[in-house]
Amino acid sequence: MSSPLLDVTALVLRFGGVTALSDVSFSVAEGALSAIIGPNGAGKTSLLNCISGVYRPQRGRIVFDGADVTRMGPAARTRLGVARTFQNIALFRGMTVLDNLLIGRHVHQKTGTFTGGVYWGRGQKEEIRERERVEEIIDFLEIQPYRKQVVHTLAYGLQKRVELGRALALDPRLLLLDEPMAGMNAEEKEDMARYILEINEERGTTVLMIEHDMGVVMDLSHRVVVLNFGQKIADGAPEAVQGNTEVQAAYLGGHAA
Amino acid sequence: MRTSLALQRPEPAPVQARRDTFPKLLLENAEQFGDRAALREKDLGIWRETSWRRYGERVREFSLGLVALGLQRGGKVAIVGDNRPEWVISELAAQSAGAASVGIYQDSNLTEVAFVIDHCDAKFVIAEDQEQVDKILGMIEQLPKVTHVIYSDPRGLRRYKHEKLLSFDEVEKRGRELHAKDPDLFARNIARGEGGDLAIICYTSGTTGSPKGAMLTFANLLTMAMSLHSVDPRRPTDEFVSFLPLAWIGEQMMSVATALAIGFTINFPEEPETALHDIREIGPNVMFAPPRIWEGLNSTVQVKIMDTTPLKRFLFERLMPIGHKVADLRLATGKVPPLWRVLYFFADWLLYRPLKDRLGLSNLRSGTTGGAALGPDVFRFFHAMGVRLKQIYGQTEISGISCIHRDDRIRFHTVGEPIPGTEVRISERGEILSRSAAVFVGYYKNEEATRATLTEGGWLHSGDAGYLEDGQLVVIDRLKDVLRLADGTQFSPQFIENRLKFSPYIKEAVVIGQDKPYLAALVCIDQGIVGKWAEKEKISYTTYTDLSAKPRVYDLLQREIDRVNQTLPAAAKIRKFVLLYKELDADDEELTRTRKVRRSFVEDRYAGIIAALYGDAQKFAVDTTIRYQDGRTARIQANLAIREMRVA
Repeated sequence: MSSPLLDVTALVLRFGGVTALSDVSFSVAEGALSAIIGPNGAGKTSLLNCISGVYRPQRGRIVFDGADVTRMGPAARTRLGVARTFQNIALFRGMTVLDNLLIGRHVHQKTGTFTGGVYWGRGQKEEIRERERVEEIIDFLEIQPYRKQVVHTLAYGLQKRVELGRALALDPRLLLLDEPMAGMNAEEKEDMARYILEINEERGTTVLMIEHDMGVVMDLSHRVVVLNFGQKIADGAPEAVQGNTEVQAAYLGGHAA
Repeated sequence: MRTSLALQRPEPAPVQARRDTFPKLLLENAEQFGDRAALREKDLGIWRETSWRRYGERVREFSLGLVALGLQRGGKVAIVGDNRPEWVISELAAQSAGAASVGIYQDSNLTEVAFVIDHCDAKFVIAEDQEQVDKILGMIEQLPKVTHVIYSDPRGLRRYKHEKLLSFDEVEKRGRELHAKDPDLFARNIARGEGGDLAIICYTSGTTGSPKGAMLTFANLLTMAMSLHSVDPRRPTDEFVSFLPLAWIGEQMMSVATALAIGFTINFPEEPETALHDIREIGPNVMFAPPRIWEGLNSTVQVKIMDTTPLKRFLFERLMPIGHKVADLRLATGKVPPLWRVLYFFADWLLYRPLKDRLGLSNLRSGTTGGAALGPDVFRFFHAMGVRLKQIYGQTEISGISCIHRDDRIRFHTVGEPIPGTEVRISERGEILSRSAAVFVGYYKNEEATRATLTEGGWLHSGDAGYLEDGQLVVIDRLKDVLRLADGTQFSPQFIENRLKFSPYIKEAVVIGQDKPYLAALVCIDQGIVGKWAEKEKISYTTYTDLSAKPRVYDLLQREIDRVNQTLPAAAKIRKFVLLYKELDADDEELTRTRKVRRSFVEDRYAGIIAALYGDAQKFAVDTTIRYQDGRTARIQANLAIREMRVA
C-alpha cells in the first residue's frame, strides 16, 4: 500500500487544564470511508477541527498527502483539498442554494475582481465553467427544485444536503463530515447515506465522518476510530470495533467485562 | 333522459397516405425539419435540444442495437421511467424494428411491474435508472422471458454486474456497428411497417383484477391525432411540455402521436418536481393535463394572493369579477358588449397577463383537461383570465379521445362533442358507447375482456353512464354506481350530490331515489357560511338545529337546489328536500373517515324522514338522541319541514 492520505500522529490538544485530545494517532487511506465515533465529549469534533485547521494542537503532527499541514491555516488546507461540513449548518442563510455552492467554487477561481466583474473574456468563460461544475453537484444531490431558493427557507434535511454540496464544490480529496445525519428522519438519512456512499465510490473521494447513528456507521464505513475522554480506545474494521469490550464499556458506561 | 339519440359526425377523419406509422413520420420529419428542435430536455440547468435529424439518428442507433441483440418483428419492449428523450427514443426504436412498446407507470409497485412485463411477453426492458433497475433485477427470476435490461442513467449502476444488464450507450454502439455493416437495414425495417401494425400496448389499471393491455395500432393513434387536430389545431411551431407519465394514453397522444404527426417540439422537465417551474420557462402553446394540475395552479394563485401586498390583493379582488362576467357572457351568448370589452382590456393588462406569465400560460392556445371532472369554479377561473380551458373525454381503448369541447360551445358540465369520425351513442342501459377508426384492436391475450368491451358493429363500451344534451355529452358516473327510479330512469346520486356540494351553503347532501317515484335529498347546511349569511340577513338563531329549521334558510337552499335542478334532465330533478337537524358525522358512522357518505347506513337511520319525503306530509316530527364525541347524549326534538321544489 502507498502512504495514507491523512496521517495523524500523537496529537495533543488542551484547553487550559482540560485535555481534549491526548496522544491520538490514526491514519486514513486514500479512497477509504472512515468514521470517528465515541460518547459525547470524547473529542470527536475537536479532532476534526484539528484536521481542518480550526484548532492548533499543542503537540503532534498532521500529514496530508505527504505534506505537514499541522501549522497551516484552514484556507491553505482547503486549497490542498480538505473540505468539511459542520454539525450546525454553516451556510449563508440569506443567499440562494446556487450562490452558496458557487461560493464553494471561489477557491478555484483565478480571475480577479475586475475581469470577473465585467463578465467578459476569461472571466465569462470561468464563470460558465464554474456554473457547470455547480450544476453537476446540484444534479448529483438532486436539489434541482431548490436551485434558486434562499437557504433559510429550506427544510433542515435539505439544508444539510446543500451544505454537503458546498463542501463538494471545493473538489475535495478529503471530505470531513461532522454528524451529517443529525436531526434527520429515516428517509433523509437513507438519502444522505446514499450520497455519502456515491461520493466515496463513484467520485473516489476519501471520507472521514463523525456519526452517532451506529447503524449508519457500521453499514457504511470501512474503518472506525473510537475515542473516549480524548483517547483513542479502538481502531479497525466495524465488526472488530463492535466486539471490543472497552468500546462497549465506554458506550454503556459500565466496567469492562 | 333521452337515451336513444346518437351523436353522429359524418365527416371522416383525414387519411394519411404514406405517413401511416410513427417511424415513417419520424423519417419524414427528420428530412423536412432537419435542425429544428424535436425534443428538449433540461439537464444541468440548461435546456438541451435534440433536432429532428438527431432524433431520427438516435432512434436508428438504438433500434438497430435492439435488432442486433435479437429484437424481432412482433416483439414487445417494456419501458419504465420518468419522461426523458430516451423514453420516446426507445418507443420509436421498438416500433422501427416492427415491435410494439409497452409503457409502465414509473411509480407502479413490484407486483404490477412484474405482471405487465411478464404478461406482455417483453424480452427487452428499458429501465431509466437505478431505482427502476433495482425493481426489475430484484424479481428477474419471475421474469423468465426477459433477456435484456437496458438503463439510460448510469448513476449508481457502475458497479452492478448482471448478465442481462447493459447500458443505453452500449446498445447504441451496437446499433452503429450494425448500421455500418448494413446501411439500409433501418430504412428497410421501417418500410415494412404498416398502419395496421401494433404500435403500443397500454395497460389500464383495473379497479378490480389484473391490468388489461389495450392494443392500439398506428392507424388508431394517428386517426385520433388527426381528428383532434382538425378541431383543436396544433402547429409545427408549438411547444409542449411532457410531464405526465408516458405510459398514460394522454401523454402518448400528445408527446408521441400528435407530436410526430404535426411536428411540434416536446420539452422534458429536469425532474418531476420541477415541472411547473419548467412549464413557466417554456411557456407552452399546448397543454393537456388532468384536473389536479389545473386545480393546483388555481389554488397556488389563491394562496399567493392571500400573502401578497394589499394593493395586489385589492386589484385581484376587484378585477377578477370582470373576467368572470366576460367569461360568462362569452360562453352564454358568444358576444361581449363594448363596455365590458373595455373593462376587460384594462383588467387584462393589469391582472390577467401578469398572472398568466407567472403560471407559464402566456402563450397557451389550447389548454385541455381530461381524465376526470373539473369543478366549474376552476374552469371559470381560467376562462376569466383568458385561458379557454376545454374538457376532453375518452378511454384508452379509443386512443384516448372521443369528445372535446368546441371553442364556441363550452359548457362546464359537459365533455363536449365527438371529434370528427367518431360516433357516440347512449345504450338502453344508459351506457356511453363510441365508435371510430381509433377504437382499439382488443386486449392483449384477454379475449373475454375484449368481447365484453368491444361489441358487434365496433361499438366500444365505456362503462360510464351518460346522456346527451344539445349535441354535447354529459358523463354522469361509472355505470355500476348508477341507480334507477321506479320508472326505470337512471340517476347517479354521487353526480347530483357533487353538484349540490358545489354550493357553498351545502356541506353534505344525500340523494335518494332507488325504486322510488322521484328524487329527494337530505341536505346538511354549512353552519359557518349559512350562519354568516343569517347574520347579514338579521336572522337570529341558536343552534345548528335551529338554524336549519328557519324558513328563510329553506328559501335560500331551495334557490341553490333550483340552480342545480336546471342543469339536470327533467326526470332526474330533485322533487323534495329536507334540511337535516344535524351534520352527518363520521363518529355517528354516517360518513367514512375519508368523508364519503355511507349511503345504506344513512338511509336506514333516517328511514322515517325518507318515508315522509315520499308521502304527503309537510312536516316531520323528530325526537331522537344524539351522541357527542365525549360520550354525552342529548335529546333533539324538532319539527322538520319538507319542502317541495317547483319542478316544471
